[in-house]
Amino acid sequence: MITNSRVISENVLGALPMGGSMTEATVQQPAPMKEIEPAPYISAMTQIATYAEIDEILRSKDFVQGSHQESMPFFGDCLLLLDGSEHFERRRLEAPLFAKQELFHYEREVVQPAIDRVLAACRDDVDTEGLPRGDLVSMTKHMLLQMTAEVTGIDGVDTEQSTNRFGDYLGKLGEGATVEWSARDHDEVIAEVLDVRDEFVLDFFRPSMDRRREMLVALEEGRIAESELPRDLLMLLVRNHAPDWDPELPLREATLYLVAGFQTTTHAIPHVVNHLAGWIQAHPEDAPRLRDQAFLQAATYESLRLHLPAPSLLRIATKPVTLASTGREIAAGERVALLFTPANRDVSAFGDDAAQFDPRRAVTAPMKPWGLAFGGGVHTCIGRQLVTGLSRTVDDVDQKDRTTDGIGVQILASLYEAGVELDPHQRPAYREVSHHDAFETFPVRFRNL
Amino acid sequence: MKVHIDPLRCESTGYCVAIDPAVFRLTPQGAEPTVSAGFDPDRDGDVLREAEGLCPTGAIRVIED
Repeated sequence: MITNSRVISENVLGALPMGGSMTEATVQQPAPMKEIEPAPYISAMTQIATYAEIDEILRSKDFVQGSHQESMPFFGDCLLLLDGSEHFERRRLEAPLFAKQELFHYEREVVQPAIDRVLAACRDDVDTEGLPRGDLVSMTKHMLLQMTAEVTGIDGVDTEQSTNRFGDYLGKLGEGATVEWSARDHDEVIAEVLDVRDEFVLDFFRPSMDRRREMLVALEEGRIAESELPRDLLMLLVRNHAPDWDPELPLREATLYLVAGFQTTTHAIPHVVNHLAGWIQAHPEDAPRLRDQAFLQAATYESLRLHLPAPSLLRIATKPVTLASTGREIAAGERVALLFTPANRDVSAFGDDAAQFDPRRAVTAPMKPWGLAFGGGVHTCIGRQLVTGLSRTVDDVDQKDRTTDGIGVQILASLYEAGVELDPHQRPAYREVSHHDAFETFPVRFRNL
Repeated sequence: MKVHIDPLRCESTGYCVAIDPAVFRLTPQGAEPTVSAGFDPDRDGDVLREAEGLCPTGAIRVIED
């Protein structure tokens, strides 16, 4: 059944991204933005929703992490929840995972082949017009599973069957790690995900850890060279295991990388495609720019600004604080909920049209085009450059081999090259089981695949 | 060897200064190297490369000669 669709005229068709030979067709309207209500979990906390205040709190040394208290079994003592020198040292340990050469490697040798595989698989399922189709939520996730496994150090994600199984585990681990925002019974979710995690440990995690421990012994005995060790999180944790770590810490640290590794981008891509469909309808002159990496990057940043991967972060004041930005007073020990969605649509920060998608938006320093999407201060997302791309310098602005555009742009470039468009026969649907601003399904089809 | 700090990206998180305050310092405008040019790769190379990798905002780029 065709829903929420309309007949479009030939002159609009001519402006469609990759244009076909149709003279008349139906086109799916972009999904309206989801109304974001604060989750019940934070209803009793002080809620802060302005950009200036949140930015100040994230940079302040007078606040510590207050997030993930319910999801402690999955994230306890991981990088995300540490503060002070312990946080600095853990971050220092793990930073090499996102060094420049690793970003090049992930983009070119891991993600691009995965994108090509996922797009090719769409050819097996065509619609009534003979066009390949797929669900963009699932497709994006599958484009990133190998990279997530490689960064974390999970072996055996190398066949269609094992990749699907790995993806299923990650979906469940993500549900546990963000249980605070679940619309289901939280205790039930935690118990369910702990059971699934046990299976994941037997299936993937323990064999991967065992292999790295064996490699470390082989290195110490001179049977292998340093260069033969994998450059991943689990190897770093095995080599640098601290005496005060509890035995499950590597599993929780790995869970952070497994969940965060694909969540931000999987969350963002359908939103970008949804917004760009509406943007090109309203601004057909920008259709050729769907092949322009800078335009796709601006669209990605704008979409990240409007649709946050996490609804809120929590912080606890370590002493009485008066915010310089507004004069708001926060008591020592007070837990505050930072509402990123309204802050990233704050008109005082982004202008009167802050709630609208505008890939031409001019954002000047010190504002970031993605706003608070990657947090801020010392807890800024460690994988941010993987998504946003490397900073360009005057020396390499025109040299593609010295910089990256980020995996979001990389995926979008491939999608638009393949002529992605909203599936006119099926509507996108938002996820209803959580307070995340995320699509559950996002049906698309391809004109040039 | 050169180091470039992107003022649009620098958020003064202070990671670079924590690695080595003799090589980086924080100013009201953000982080900056303590010398404007001519780093000694033997003396400063490891610090600069670690700062590049550790900077949470990706503001630091090291350009090898």
